[in-house]
Amino acid sequence: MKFPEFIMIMLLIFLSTSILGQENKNDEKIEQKKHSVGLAAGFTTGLGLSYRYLPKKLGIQTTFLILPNNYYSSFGATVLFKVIQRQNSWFYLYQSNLYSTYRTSGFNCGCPYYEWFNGIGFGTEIFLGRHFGLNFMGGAGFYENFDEFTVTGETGVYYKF
Amino acid sequence: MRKLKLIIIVFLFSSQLFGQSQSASPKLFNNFEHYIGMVANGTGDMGMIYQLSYRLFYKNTGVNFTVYPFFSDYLNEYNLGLTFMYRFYQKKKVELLIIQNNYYFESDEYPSEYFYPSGYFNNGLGIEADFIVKHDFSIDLMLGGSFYQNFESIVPFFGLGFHYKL
Repeated sequence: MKFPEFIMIMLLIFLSTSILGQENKNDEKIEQKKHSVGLAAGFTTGLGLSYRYLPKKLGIQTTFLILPNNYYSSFGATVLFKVIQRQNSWFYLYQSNLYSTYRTSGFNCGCPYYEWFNGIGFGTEIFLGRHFGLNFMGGAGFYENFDEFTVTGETGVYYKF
Repeated sequence: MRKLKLIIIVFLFSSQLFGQSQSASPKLFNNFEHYIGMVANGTGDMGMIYQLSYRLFYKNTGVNFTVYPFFSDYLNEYNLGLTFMYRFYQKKKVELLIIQNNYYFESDEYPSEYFYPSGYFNNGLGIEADFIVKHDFSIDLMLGGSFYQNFESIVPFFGLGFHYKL
C-alpha cells in the first residue's frame, strides 16, 4: 500500500469515527411513537379533540371542537418542531393557528362570528408511563384577528401509539 | 508528496485542536443550568400576570428573567422581571430557594391625572418551592412580600409556574 492511499484510508476512518462520535453524543436512541390522540385546551392551538403526528423532528397537531347550533367551533392546526428528546420528556417549538367561530348574542341577532388566533412558543411533553403524555406549552400570540398580542398558554393530554 | 504530507499534518493537527475545544467547552457550560417556562404572578391589585420565563443557574445561584407583553388597539402594557435566586435546599423531588424579585410594570391604562403612575417598580423578597415532577420538569410555588408601586406599600405576592430544564 502506497503512503497516500494509507493516509486516505486513515483519514476516512478518522472522519467516520468523528461523525459516529457526534451521533452518539447528540442522539439518544429512544423509541418514539408517531401518533397521539387526546384532549387539548389552548388559546392559540384550540380546544377539544386533538391528534398529533410526529414522524421525526417535524410534526403537526390538529385540534377541533364542534358544538351544535353554531354555538362554538374551533379548528386548530399547529406545527411542532422537536428540539430535545429525552427518556422521560421531549421539548419542542411550535407555531399555532386557530380558527374559531361562535354565535353572537344580544344586539347582534345571533349572527355567526369568526376569529383567528396565531401563536408561537415552546412546549414540553412529560411522559406518564409508556403511552401517556402531559403537555405544557407557553409562548406569545395574536388574538382575535391580530387585534391583541400577548402571552399564551396551552395544555393537553395524549395517548401515544 | 511533501505538500500532501504537510496538508495532512495540518488537517490532523487542526482536528485535534477542534476536538480539544469541544471537550473543553462542555466543562465550562456544564456548570450552568438553563430553564424555560411560564409563571403566573399576583401582586397587589394588579391581578394575575402570566409571564414567559427563562432561568439561568450557576451551581446554586441563579437569575430569572420574565416578560409579559400586552399590546392592542385599546391598551398597551408590559411587565419585565428580574429575580435573583439562591437554592439552599435540594433533594430529588423538591428544591427550596430564596428569591428577590424586581418587576417593572408599565401601562397606558391609567391617564396621568389619575393616582396610579403609568410605570412603577415592585420589589419583593420571598421563598420558592420547586416540585420536580420528572427529572427535567418542575412545578414552582412562590410566596413572599413585596414593596408595591415604587415602595408606596407592602403587599403579599404569590406565584405559580412551571419550568423545563434545557
